[in-house]
Amino acid sequence: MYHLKPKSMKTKHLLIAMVMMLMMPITTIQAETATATVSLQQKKNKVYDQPEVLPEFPGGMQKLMEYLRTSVKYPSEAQKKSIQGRVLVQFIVEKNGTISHLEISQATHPLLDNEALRVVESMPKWTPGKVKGKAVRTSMTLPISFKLQ
Amino acid sequence: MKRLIILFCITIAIASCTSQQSGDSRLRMADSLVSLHPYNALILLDSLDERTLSSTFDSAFYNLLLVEALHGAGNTLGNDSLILISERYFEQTKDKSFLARTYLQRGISLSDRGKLTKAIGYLKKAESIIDLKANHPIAYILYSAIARTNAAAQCKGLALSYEKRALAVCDTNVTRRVETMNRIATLYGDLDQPDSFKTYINQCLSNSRYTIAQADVMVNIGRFYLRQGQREMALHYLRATLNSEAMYEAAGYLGELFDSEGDRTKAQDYYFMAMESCLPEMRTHAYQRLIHYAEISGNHRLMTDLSLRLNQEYEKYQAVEPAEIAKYQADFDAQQASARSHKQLAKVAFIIGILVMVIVVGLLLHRRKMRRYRRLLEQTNADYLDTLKRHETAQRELTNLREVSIDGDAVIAQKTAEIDALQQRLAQFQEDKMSPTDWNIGDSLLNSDVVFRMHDLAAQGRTAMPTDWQQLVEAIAPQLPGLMAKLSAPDCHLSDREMRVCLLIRLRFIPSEIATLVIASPQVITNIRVRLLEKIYRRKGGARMFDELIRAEK
Repeated sequence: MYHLKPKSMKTKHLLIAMVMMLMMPITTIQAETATATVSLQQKKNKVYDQPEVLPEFPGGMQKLMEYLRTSVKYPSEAQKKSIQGRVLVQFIVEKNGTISHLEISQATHPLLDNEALRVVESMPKWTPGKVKGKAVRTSMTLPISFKLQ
Repeated sequence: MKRLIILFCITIAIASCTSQQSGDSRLRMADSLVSLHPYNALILLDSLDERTLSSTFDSAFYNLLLVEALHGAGNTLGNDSLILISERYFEQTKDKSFLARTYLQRGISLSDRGKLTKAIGYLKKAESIIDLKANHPIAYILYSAIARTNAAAQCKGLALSYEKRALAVCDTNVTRRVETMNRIATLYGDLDQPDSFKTYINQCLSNSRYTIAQADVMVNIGRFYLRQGQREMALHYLRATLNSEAMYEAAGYLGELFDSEGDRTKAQDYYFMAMESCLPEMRTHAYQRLIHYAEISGNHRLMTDLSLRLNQEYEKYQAVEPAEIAKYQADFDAQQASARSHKQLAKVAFIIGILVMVIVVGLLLHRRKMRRYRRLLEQTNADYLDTLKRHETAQRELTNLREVSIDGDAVIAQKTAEIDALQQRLAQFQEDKMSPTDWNIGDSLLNSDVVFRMHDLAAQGRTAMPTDWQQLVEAIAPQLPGLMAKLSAPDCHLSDREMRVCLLIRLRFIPSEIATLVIASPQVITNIRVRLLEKIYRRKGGARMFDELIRAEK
């Protein structure tokens, strides 16, 4: 048998429906805001391979070469065995010019690899890479040669 | 026991033919790693104390593996002290497989140090003794090394051909393939063949995205545009690689670009980077230009420092004449080809010698067998003749006894028994085992002179003369006219040989006698008999059927 619901119950249901309808766009806006925040964060932390302006060692490339020449200490064991090589060190030049995320992208010999890492780690701050005039994080690969004279 | 000894000998022979194996499991593991994962092999070898190696072989092998791992991981060696130990040992043991690997590493080491003529010598020696089918990773390393040495010696054509060979044997390693194709593109660029350059560069670009060789490819494109005079494109590609592993090479070309435009400050900055390039000619050029700039700016201290370093570069790399290196290789290849052809010729001569020996031995054995066989035939013929003679004599004596009839029956019976025995013996000689009483030949013909002479000739292993055959025909003709008519029938067309075979069979000559008299083997006589059956009687069948039919002729 069909019963009509009391009037008070009907009004309650109607109110719940209206609140829910109002809530839905708010939740969507909240989610969108969160996504935008994450993407902004990601954009801020993006590592560029090809920024408009490349990061630069203080004093330019000539100084970088000088720094490498004076800082690299040939590992004595490698020198004894006459081992020469070219180690590729990959790192990120942060927005403030510091060096981070060091890793060997092409290892040649453990002795040379360690020395290359030490030299890159102890480098002074670089001038960061730039995109639209703003400092960005930039990925760099620096080949470090070990040559016996 | 005999089998065990043979098995032991085979095992020893196989063991002596195969390459020596190290007893050290760490060396064996390093050996399995070295061509595909040289850095891992290097770490493994570095952790190994050389003093713990038990044999001279292991020491030599350790040094070889160490040099292979060092070179494979991208290192160069300042001297040959390590590889020399292996070279001396493997030259003594004459183990081709290890010696080839040693020569290859010595060649690479020399090439890295700019001693190109000597390097080519070692690399070509390695190429001549290496088993390339069984050593694909080594084949790639060898061809690449020869190509790079030729490229460094400005023998671009040869370098190109070896790079292509390297690409053909290159495994599925994408970086290796891209590096090789990039080097091929560079060579085409140097040889002024832009279309081929683009073909290979496009192949590189489609493969290089995730490889370490991508930067090299970009620099190569930048260099190509620089040579073509397309400044903006060159600048785009070269600048894009300034933060990559190929930065020094890119800097060298950028230095050239700005140098040509008169931008001294930028050119100088890039040339300073190019001093670290792995290309000797680029380093030399950078030093020369920097010395020039220092001279212009009056910076004598820098000029002296750079001049000293340039001199060190010159000392490291001996001057080479490309034509001389190309000629050396052509001569070496010709020498190798001639040695190979000599070797092949020696092989063919050896095989021919063996064949001749086999034929000679075969002929001697056949001759011996035939002699023995002929002797057997002659023996059989002689036995048959002897029996025939005795039979004839016995018959004659019996006839005489019957005529004289002095003592009568005992002697006659004895003689009859003797004749019976002889007839049985004669029957044994016949294929149909028939006794002379059933031979259907009159005694006068059977015992005639000409028939006996023929038997006699067969027993001596001699053939009958035409006059003998003539006399035989004359003896048969009156006694067996039907036979002669049959054989002379116009539709028969018998040859002399066939006619003689017919007569001899009719007269109960045994197959060995017929073979001797007509100079043929018993098998040939059998074939003739089968043929005669068809020719004379128009029937198909065996040799015995022919015998029966011909013996029934009167």
